[in-house]
Amino acid sequence: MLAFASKTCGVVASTSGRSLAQDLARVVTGVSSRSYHKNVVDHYDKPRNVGSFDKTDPNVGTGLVGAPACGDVMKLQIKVDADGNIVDSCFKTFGCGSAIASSSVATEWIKGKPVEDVMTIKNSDIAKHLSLPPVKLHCSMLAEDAIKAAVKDWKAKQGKGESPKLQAQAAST
Amino acid sequence: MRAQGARLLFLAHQTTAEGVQSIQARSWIAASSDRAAWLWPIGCRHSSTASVAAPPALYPAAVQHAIARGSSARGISSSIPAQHNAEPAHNDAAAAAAAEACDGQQQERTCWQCGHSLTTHDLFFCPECDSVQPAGIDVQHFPILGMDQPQFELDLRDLERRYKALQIRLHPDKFATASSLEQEYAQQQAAAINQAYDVLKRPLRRAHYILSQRGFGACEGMTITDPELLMYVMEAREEVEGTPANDTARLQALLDTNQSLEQRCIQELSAAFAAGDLQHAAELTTQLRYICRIREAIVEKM
Repeated sequence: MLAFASKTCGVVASTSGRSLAQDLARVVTGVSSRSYHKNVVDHYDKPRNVGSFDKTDPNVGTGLVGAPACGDVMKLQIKVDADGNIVDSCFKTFGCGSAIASSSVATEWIKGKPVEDVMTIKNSDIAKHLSLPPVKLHCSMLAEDAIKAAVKDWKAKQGKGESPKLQAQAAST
Repeated sequence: MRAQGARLLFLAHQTTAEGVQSIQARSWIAASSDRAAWLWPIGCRHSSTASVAAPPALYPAAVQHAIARGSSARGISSSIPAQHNAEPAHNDAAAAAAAEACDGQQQERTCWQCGHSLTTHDLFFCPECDSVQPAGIDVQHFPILGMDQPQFELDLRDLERRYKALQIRLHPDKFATASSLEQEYAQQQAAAINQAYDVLKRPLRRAHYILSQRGFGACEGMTITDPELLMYVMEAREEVEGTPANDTARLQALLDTNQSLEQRCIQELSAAFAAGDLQHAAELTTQLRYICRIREAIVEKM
């Protein structure tokens, strides 16, 4: 367990990596009562969909958002097919464990869904899934905003005249 | 009122043919007349457009004025002129109620030991019998360290001198033979002084404190979408992440770059506060926060 605690997440290294590990070590030794929910630990230790798509790809929507209160920055990208379904998504987040986990969950949930459906994903769903404490609720908010920003970016690209079908879709939204 | 032609240097990276990252300066002009190009509306979560919407979290001018009035009644007046914006007061009744609440908080303070009346400047000791007084609940950081008015520009050595002078008088050793009540009061005062010094000595915390006292703190919980700032931060953080921990030369170069950016930001911030442009100061404070996070990431790697 201590070995796990000291392992750093090489791909999404951030200042939170050490603090999360420290927190976990303290939980093990019973010094502190603070602990992360297992879903958060899961998404932090094995984050899904970390990475980057080509921003200039016409099928890619990029959402880039930030939380000024803590200096977090979150990038969430979607790859959308000709039918308007999200076939792939990825994220890159620099922030606390809750922010990383929230964006990881977000990319998981939006995969395979039509673009319109993901606009209804609420930060409260993400927060509930991760059992986020009140002080970390803004992390789930950030993830919701990142999804919306990515969709908005993709839609803007479609408006520039891609396939007629997508143009019609864009016109009707 | 806004600083004309405020400019912040943002540095972009370029990969050369050999794959070695070199640093190239890219100037980022933020002319006050064309703020919409880069300004993000603080407090407007879903607004990523260029429109400059007044943040809903800003207190109506009437309430702000009432707060300033209440503060000056306690001997704490702000040197920063009240921000008057075009937003109409939400609720005159609410403003009046707030004004009343401020006035009602004025209370007569007397020394618990000798009964001598205390002015708002007698924060720690009775001027008559020199007994240590309990720490006030609503005393603000600037008066604690001897400043009547909140100001961003500070002489840090002077601040440290005042801090040390106070802590010498309130050191527990000085109260070893005093009553437990006095020891308690001395402890409270020392804690308040420590906290005040902690906030005021750091530019970022000082800026954030001044802004929150003036009603600009509520929008901190909002999401921002400013592409220029966030893209820079993203690239910078990725750059740091991609640098091996043993490449101290490169990390030092990144740190130096970031430090100069931090200096520039603080200078701009100082100018914004001096000009009374709290909106611009709030934006710069957010930038400063991100710059500090980048610094922390680099230092952690080193």
